[in-house]
Order: sequence, then C-alpha cells, then structure tokens
Amino acid sequence: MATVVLRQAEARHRRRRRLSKDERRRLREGYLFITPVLLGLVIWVFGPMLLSLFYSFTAYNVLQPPKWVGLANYQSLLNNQTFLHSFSITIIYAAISVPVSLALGLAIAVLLNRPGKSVRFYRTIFYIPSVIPIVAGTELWTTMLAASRYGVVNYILLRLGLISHPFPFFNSPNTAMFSLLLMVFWGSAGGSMIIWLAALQSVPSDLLEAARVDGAGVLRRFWSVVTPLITPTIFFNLVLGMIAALQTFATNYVIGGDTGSPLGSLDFVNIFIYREAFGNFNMGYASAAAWLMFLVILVLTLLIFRTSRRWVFYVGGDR
Amino acid sequence: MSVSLEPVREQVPLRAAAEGRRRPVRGQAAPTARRWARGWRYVILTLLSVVFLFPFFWIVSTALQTPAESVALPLTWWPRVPQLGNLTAPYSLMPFGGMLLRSVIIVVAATIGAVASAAVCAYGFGRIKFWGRDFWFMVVLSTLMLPYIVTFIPVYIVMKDVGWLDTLWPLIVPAWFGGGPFNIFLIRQFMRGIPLELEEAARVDGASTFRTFRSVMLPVLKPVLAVAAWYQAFASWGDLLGPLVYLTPESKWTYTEGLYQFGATTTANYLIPYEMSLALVAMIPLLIAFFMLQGKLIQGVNINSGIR
Repeated sequence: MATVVLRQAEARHRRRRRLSKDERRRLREGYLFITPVLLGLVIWVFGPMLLSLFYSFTAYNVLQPPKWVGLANYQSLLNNQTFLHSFSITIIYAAISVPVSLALGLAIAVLLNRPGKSVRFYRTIFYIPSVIPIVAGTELWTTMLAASRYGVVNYILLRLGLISHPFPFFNSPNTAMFSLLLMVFWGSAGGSMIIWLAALQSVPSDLLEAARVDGAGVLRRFWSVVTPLITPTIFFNLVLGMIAALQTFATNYVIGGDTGSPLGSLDFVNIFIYREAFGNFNMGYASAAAWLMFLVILVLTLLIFRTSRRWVFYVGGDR
Repeated sequence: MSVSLEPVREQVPLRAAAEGRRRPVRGQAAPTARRWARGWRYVILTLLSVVFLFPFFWIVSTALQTPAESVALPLTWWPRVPQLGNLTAPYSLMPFGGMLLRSVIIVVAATIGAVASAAVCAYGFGRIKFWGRDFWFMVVLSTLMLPYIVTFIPVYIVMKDVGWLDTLWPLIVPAWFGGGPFNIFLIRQFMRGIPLELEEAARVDGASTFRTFRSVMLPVLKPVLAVAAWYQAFASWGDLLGPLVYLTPESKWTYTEGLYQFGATTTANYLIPYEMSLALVAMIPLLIAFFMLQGKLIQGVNINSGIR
C-alpha cells in the first residue's frame, strides 16, 4: 500500500520537476513512518467498510455465500418497528446525555475554579468514576439500584421517607432510561469537568479584568467573555460525545442483555445490530443497519459543523 | 476520552484573575456575603463528593460482606468481619485465574503495539515534511467519526476466515496498526511542542531518521506515551464486545467477559458479594494506574503542551 502510494507520489512529482535528493528522502521516509496506519486504514477501515456496504445489499448468514437482495434489507429495516424504536431511543439518549453531562461538568468546574489546594482534591474525586471499566461500573450500579428495599438507593430513599414504595429503576421500561442516565452522569461528569476547567483557565485574565472594569457582573462576564472563548471546546466535545453516545453498547448489554430489557427500553441501535449479527447471524441485515447508523452520524456531524460557523469562535484563526 | 482544545496556561482562576490583584489589602475583612458564598461552595462540593464516592464505599463494603449479611434487612453498612476470602471464592465457581491471565496478555500486547506504532506514525506526521502528509493525516483523523460497528462485522468475518476465532489475536493485532487515530493525534500534538533543535544535533552527527526518532525523540515522549498507553490499556481491559464475539467458550473468556457472565448467570442475591468483589478487582489496576498518571491524565489532552 505504502509503496504504491509512494510510487504514485514520486511519479506525480517527477512530472512537474525533479525532486531534490532531500525531498526524495523525506518522501520515502515519511511514507515509511506512516506505513502502519496506512496499512491499518486499508485492513481495518476502508476494506471492511466496502465489504460491509456490499453485505448490506445481501442476505448473508456466514454459512452460505452472500446472496444479492438489492435494497431489501434497507426497505425492511425502515418498516421494522423494533429497529425504528431502537433508533429513536438511541437518538433521545444521545440528545439528553451529551448536553446534560457537559452542563454538569460545567457546573462542577465553575464551583471548583478557585485558587487553592482543595481544587485538586475535589477534581480527583469527581474524575475517579471516569476511570472505572464499564462492565464493573454497570454491575455496581445495577446492584445499588436494585428495585427492592435490598437495593441501597431504594433503602436510603425509603428510610428518609422520600418514597413509600421501592422505585423500579432498571426493572421497568418507564424508568430504565432515566436510571441509565443517572449512572452515565456519574461516570461522565468528571471527564467534562476536566475539559471545562482547562478551558476556563485558558481565558486570558486581562480580558476578564477589562470586562470587570467596564462594570460587567459575574454572569455577564461568563456569558459574554468566557463563553465565546470556549466555544471550540464545547463544539469539539459535542461532536465526539454525540458520536460516542450513539454507539452505546456495553452498559445496555450488561443491564438488559441482547434484547435491551426491560421490554426493549434499552434496545439501542448497537444492541439491535449485535443481536442481528451475532445472535441471528443476519450479517447482511445487520450491516444495513450499521450503514444507516453511519449515515445518520455523518449527517448529524455535518449539521453540527455547518451550524458551528455561527456559534464557534476561534481566536486568531487556525493554530 | 476527554479532550480539551485549550492550552493550559498558568492556573489563574477566573474570579481571582479578575479581582485578586485589585482587592484592597489594608486590613479589610472579606465582606460577609462573600464569605457566605465561599462556605456554600464547599458545602455543595462536599455533598456532591459524597454522592460521587458513595458507590466506591458501597462496592468495598458489599464485596467484604458474608452472603447472609448482603441479603439481610436492615442493610449492612459495614461487614462485622470483612470477608477477604470473597476475593478468591468466585474462582471456585468460574475459572477466573485463566481469564485474568488472558486479559493481562491482551492488555500488554495491545498496549505495546498501540504505543509503538502510534509513536512511529506520529513522528511521520509530526516531524517529516512530505508530499501528501496533511491529506493522510486528515484521513486518519476523520476515522474518529466512524462508528466501530460499521467495520466490526466484516472484520469478524475476516478473522473467522483466517481461523482466529477463539484466539487472542483479534483483540491484539488491530492495535499494532497505528494504535488508533486518537493516540497518533495525541502524540503528534505533544511532539509539536518539542523544539526542532533537539533532533538537529543528532542529525548533524549523521544519525539516520529512525535513529534520531529512537534515541532522541522517544525518550522525550515518555509522558505522552504513558497517556497513550493508559487509553489503550483502559480500552483493552474493559472491552466487552470484542471478547463476547471472538472468545465464545468459557475456557477462552477474558476477565471482563467472565465478570459479565458471572453477573448475568448468577441471579441469586446471596452471590452479590462475589460479583462485587470481582468488579472491585476489575477496577483496582485501573485505579492504581490512574493515581500514578493522574497529573498527566487530568490535564485533559493539552494540545499545546510540550517541553516546559
């Protein structure tokens, strides 16, 4: 791969002018150094993408060779109530979890953004949940949120008299998503707090000073001085956070298995795809679902990028 | 993965920056209102801390309870006699020893591969100027947005055709191809903060590019390589989907998969202490690594950093 690219590059250059000895050396060495990732792109990214696009137009159960079915998989998916349900709850989850966890992180960061040693202490505490592996963390939370008085959260709430019957948490389709969000906020608020703290501390103090002298209050300074300066951070984390949230798998799999229990209320798109691919071995159908998801993520990302011109503010242009 | 696009400057908090220098010094006590505000801040922070830390208290407490204590009401806040035996008891129900071993092999092999190949690629992207470099860098970065599930199915089929099902290879080999776009990005950014003169000295002495990379650049990169290693180890250690698909018989499971299966198959309440002790063991190596690396990790990814 790399050698082909290299030869093409060299040939193209030769047409224009002869490369100096140094340029040729750099060309050779440059491609040599990035060979691992170029090979990786072919073997693990673009090759598989093309294959999966091909599978998405076939019926393929692994045992027999793929059979071309045209758009049938896509048509069937768009009429499949289970898939549409998976799709919509995944979107709802991403739409809630990403902004709320960014907001929680911001709230904590603003509380913490003070001089003194206590900052580091609290910062560590809020960040620790982010370094917990998902399966272990989820099993801990399902234990704590058990839907009876044996679950410690219910136990405490009952003892405090805040509820009179145990709250169902992961036992009821009505409360499962809410409970998942609770757990996810615990695990993700610290990560976004770190981002916010770094962003807040990057705001030049002379700007704030100037605003203060002009009589701007705390809120005004935050909204008109700090916020515009940290929009690139918000933007970047919004995009990556959304992409990650739309691909949620392990938490839901640990809580509700490959059916997204209770009653499909945690049956996110990746659970659906996993079930089709590795439970029912409908590789073609699963690939079509994966491609639909990919297209949605692509469109959403482009949309965020497009609107970003209106609200993302870069100081001094490109770094 | 927390990414900050901001350079971390000196730690000048907002309010202090705006007011600190101008506050009248001469023996004036802080206004009562402000002192109250400061007090409330700590009350809120402390309450929040309790909420954030409670799960850790609870997992340790539950992991050390006897089965009887864990199903008794009122709930036991702290076991009368901490049952350290709970840490090994589950091993008689499932072969967790072998699972731990496989997990360690995967983590070590994948991490070495990811860090080494990411460092090499990052050097190509960061330090060598060649035709097409920026284009390929953008291509690599754009794969950050690709949902993994799109490539997962065909890769599975390829692994199956190669005969790698129920082996550790599918969980190790992919890491050796650049270690993921994020790690390349991370290391390259760090490299950009390193003065060029460092390598020029070696160059003048006639060292080859690879030699320069290995003996001049690599030692300087240590801090960022540690962070990259952390991300890969975290991902490999906690991975559920990979082992679930590639390692199906119990004799091949990883620790994370075993932990999941234990939780999924043992619904009996009195086994909860065992489940919690297994989960606790899954957390401990990461917590230790985190406390060792804390300073580097918690800065987020500081894009403008370098030698300071």
